Amino acid sequence: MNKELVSSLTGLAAEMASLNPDDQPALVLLGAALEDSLQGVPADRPETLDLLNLCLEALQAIYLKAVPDLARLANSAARAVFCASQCLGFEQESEGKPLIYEAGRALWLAAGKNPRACPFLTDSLPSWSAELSQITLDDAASLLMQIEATLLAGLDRLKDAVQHLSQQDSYSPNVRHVLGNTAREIAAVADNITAGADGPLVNVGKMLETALECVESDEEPPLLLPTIAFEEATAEQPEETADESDLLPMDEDPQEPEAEEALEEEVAPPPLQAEAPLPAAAGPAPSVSAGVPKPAPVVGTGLPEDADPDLLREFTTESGDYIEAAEAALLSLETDPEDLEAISTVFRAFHTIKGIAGFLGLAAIQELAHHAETLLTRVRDHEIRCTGGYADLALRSVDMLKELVNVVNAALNGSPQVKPEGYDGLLQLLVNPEAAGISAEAAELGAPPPRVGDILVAEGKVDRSTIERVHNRQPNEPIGVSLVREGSATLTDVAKALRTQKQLAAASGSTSDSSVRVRTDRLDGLIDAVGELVIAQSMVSQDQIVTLGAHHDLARKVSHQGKIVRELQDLSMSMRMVPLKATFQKMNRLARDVAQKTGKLVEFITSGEDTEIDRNMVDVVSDPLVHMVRNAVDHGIETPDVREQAGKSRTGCIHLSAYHAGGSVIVELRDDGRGLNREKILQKALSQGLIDSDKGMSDSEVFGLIFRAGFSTAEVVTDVSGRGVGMDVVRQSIAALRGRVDIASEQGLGSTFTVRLPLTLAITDGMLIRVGDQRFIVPTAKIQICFRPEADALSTIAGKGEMALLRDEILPMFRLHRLFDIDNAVENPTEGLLVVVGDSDRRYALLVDELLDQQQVVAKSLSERLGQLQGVSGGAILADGRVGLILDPDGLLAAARQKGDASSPSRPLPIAA
Amino acid sequence: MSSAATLSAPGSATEGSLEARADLGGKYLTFFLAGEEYGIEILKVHEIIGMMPITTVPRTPFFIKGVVNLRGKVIPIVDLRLKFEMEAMTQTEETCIIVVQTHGTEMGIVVDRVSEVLDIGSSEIEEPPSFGGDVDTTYILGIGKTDGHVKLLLDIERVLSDQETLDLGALTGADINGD
Repeated sequence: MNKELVSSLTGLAAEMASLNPDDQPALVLLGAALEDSLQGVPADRPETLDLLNLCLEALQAIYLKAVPDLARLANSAARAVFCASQCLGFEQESEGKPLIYEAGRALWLAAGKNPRACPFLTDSLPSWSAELSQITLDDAASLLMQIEATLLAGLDRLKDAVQHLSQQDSYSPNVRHVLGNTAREIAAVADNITAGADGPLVNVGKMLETALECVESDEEPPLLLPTIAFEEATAEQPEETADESDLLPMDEDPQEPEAEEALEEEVAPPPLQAEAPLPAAAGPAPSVSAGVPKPAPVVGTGLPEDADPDLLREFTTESGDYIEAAEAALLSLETDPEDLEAISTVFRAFHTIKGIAGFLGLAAIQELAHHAETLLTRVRDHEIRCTGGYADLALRSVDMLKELVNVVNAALNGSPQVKPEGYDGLLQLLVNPEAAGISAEAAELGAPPPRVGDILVAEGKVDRSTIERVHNRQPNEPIGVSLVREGSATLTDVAKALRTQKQLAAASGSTSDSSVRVRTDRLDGLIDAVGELVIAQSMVSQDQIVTLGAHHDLARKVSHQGKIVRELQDLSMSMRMVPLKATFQKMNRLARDVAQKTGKLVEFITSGEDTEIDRNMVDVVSDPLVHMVRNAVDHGIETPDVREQAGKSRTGCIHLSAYHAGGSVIVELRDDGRGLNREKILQKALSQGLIDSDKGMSDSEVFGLIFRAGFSTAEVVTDVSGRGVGMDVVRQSIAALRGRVDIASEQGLGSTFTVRLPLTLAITDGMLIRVGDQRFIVPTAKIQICFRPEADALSTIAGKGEMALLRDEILPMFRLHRLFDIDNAVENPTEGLLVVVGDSDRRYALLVDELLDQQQVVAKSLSERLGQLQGVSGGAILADGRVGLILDPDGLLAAARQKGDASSPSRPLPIAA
Repeated sequence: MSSAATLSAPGSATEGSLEARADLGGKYLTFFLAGEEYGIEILKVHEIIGMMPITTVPRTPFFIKGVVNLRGKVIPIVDLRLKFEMEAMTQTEETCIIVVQTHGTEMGIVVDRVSEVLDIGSSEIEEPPSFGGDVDTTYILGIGKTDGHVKLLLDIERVLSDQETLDLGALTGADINGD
């Protein structure tokens, strides 16, 4: 059953396993495919559905980079999808339950959610642990067989089983030891499922077989790992009696039986020896086991006296693997510092080692790994690049980590612990690399020949015969990697050689398009400074000494300077423009989501994604867009059946486009849904008392009603073809960006939402106007025309509302000096100037005294202490250093209407002449 | 400004000032306003600047003189005389603006002239006497007595965070929506 589904999910799992968390388009595709698959999951599989939904959530989290360890989450999600596909293959869902629970739990934890809240945890654990207590070695073997059939799902389960068995007293210590190793092997396999797990599983099988044989013949197991030798020597006495605390280091009483003491001495050398080479700079040693005071606390590299040697041994092996992976990744970072996957690998290595070291009380390792991790976090967050000094630091950290692990290993074998040389210095560097002058700049380099091997030889790090030997053994591997693995060269040396090589290549002429990452606050600072420079320059250029014309040469120089400053301004503005692409992609995803949830068929088309907009605005603009897209799908587009009845194609179409027009960015959302119902909106607005009558209201004004806060009630959504949810939020956030949104709609054919946004919030193109002795700036984009009216173009209505006639169009006229109570202004409109502002629907003429100048100003917000000023959108520093207020025509209109309203006696100036 | 008294939450206000009164001692910048000497905690004062051209902002309370350009920043200016309902005075050579920082924003206050920075010990500070409804003393932290002179120590935060301005903003905001 569900064969198709199973195979598609299996395919998805494979794709996810090889997923690069930074490949956002791929993530979107995967998410969509997964969602498609979700539809096919039969209803009698609720748990599977839950699991897949969790996977979907995980993909979203990866897309949003919401968790620190993206790779781990992706891995878990891949496994979960795989489990789900396996379970769908079973007859009953209950058969696959443990698998689902395990995968779900792992995914839940990887997603960084509260483990207690995990839906997969509550049911699964009790039953599984109950099962666990009765498991036998034979069961484990059959579990393994099952795993081989279903590939990798259920590994955790097997591991639990084997681990549990390894603690059973009924087996001889030898058998238990083999089982312990097996469990470790399984864990290793589980951590590495993408890398073709067949080989390791065979090993696991062999190990289990050995254990079975041991049980049957009760003979000594063959030596599987060198660690066993030690184990045999000490395993005479049962080490542990606790059945569940195998992972917890036990506080051992010094007064324990002899065997324990012997063990202790062998493992941990006398404390004095351990402490001697450790100055305080090793940092605070985390207390290893809380509450129990120790006679001589071991700090730094010292082995905690209560550590389980077995665990320590496991740790050293595991760390070795991680360090090896980190080395390879760091080397690949040398050639490509942007390789995020490599950074994640290194990060993961440090992170894991830190975790285990902390757990085992290895303070020195934990501390080093912690600081290295901090460094790598900065790299991963693009704060710094993993080049030059930083790369060196990372490399040295890995080298140091290696040495520290070696020390632990040596200590386990009884040799004294010596803290590696330079540990404290490195730690200090890691804590604050900048303080030590470390930067992303490459260190000084000589001029060696261009092959890595040659460079190393020339630097005397390795001799040529070694390189040739190593190279012959591993001809297909980069020589650097082989050398490090062979131990012939240190990681740092190889990395330096690689860097030298790269520098030489760059010097020999191949130049490429390069980019620099700059912190945004610095960029903003630069833009602000340029804004001030523009003002300062215009102050100079408008100085009387320059403008009077007496100093021709000076004027010429100033105008030349002006050109440069404007160029600089354009340049700085372009630096923070970013394309809308990412925002549009998010919308695409959202549209799919909502369509799926509401059972609609929607084709989402975008165009003009490359349109650029100020990066400060990109984030803000996505909020209203989310609402609009959601509404378009939810309420605009009809269900397929309804569409068919209306004679439209079953699939609705939503078109999101962006383009530049007249100094603004226009974002348009067009759907071919049912459109807005003017009558119903009016009805609703009338019943809610939002308007008194619809007389004279244009369609666009009526549709504008849906933006009103009072309009967005749940009722409306069902009564009037929706479009009420969050629309007031849309208008507010767009207004906050000094933009506006318009609706055009035809019932039955669809609606178009047009959002008009300024290119940038920082600079406003404005006309400087004068009224009385005050000056204001009117944004040029808002001005349609300026004219001086003839006397017969002016008229009044009932001696009240003033109007001006412009090309057969009647415009309401407002006097700025009356709105703002300004004295000494021109009273007679024929002596002043009418500035026509607003949009096609809401045009009006504003009487001012005169136009002074056109000016680009850096808009600054007025203090919030002044409250929200109607008609004024902000302030700007004018050429003479004074503050000019920027007018907001829409707000002015509202203020004018309010002022004309008889209901505000506190402002007794009527609009009538 | 009787409205101001009613606008601040009464319970918390008295508690706050009582608490503050406990350690009122410290350095104060004193200035003159219509013959009376006032003091502001020195830590609240950012700088003192001479009078400069003030841009009037329409539709603001009468005591807001307008805004000025303080090295590229636009800051509002409050005329303390008007705020305290004193007689307006023509600008003199000594008129200046004290830039204070309250609630994270800068604001300027126009005063007749600044006097000096004084160290006033807590023992020299008394609670303001009560005058009943006629005189509003909610802005007064305490009264300092040094060298036989009386200095009115202003709670500048309260003077400037007077809800009136914010109310005006809310009012106009509501009107836009109600339109």
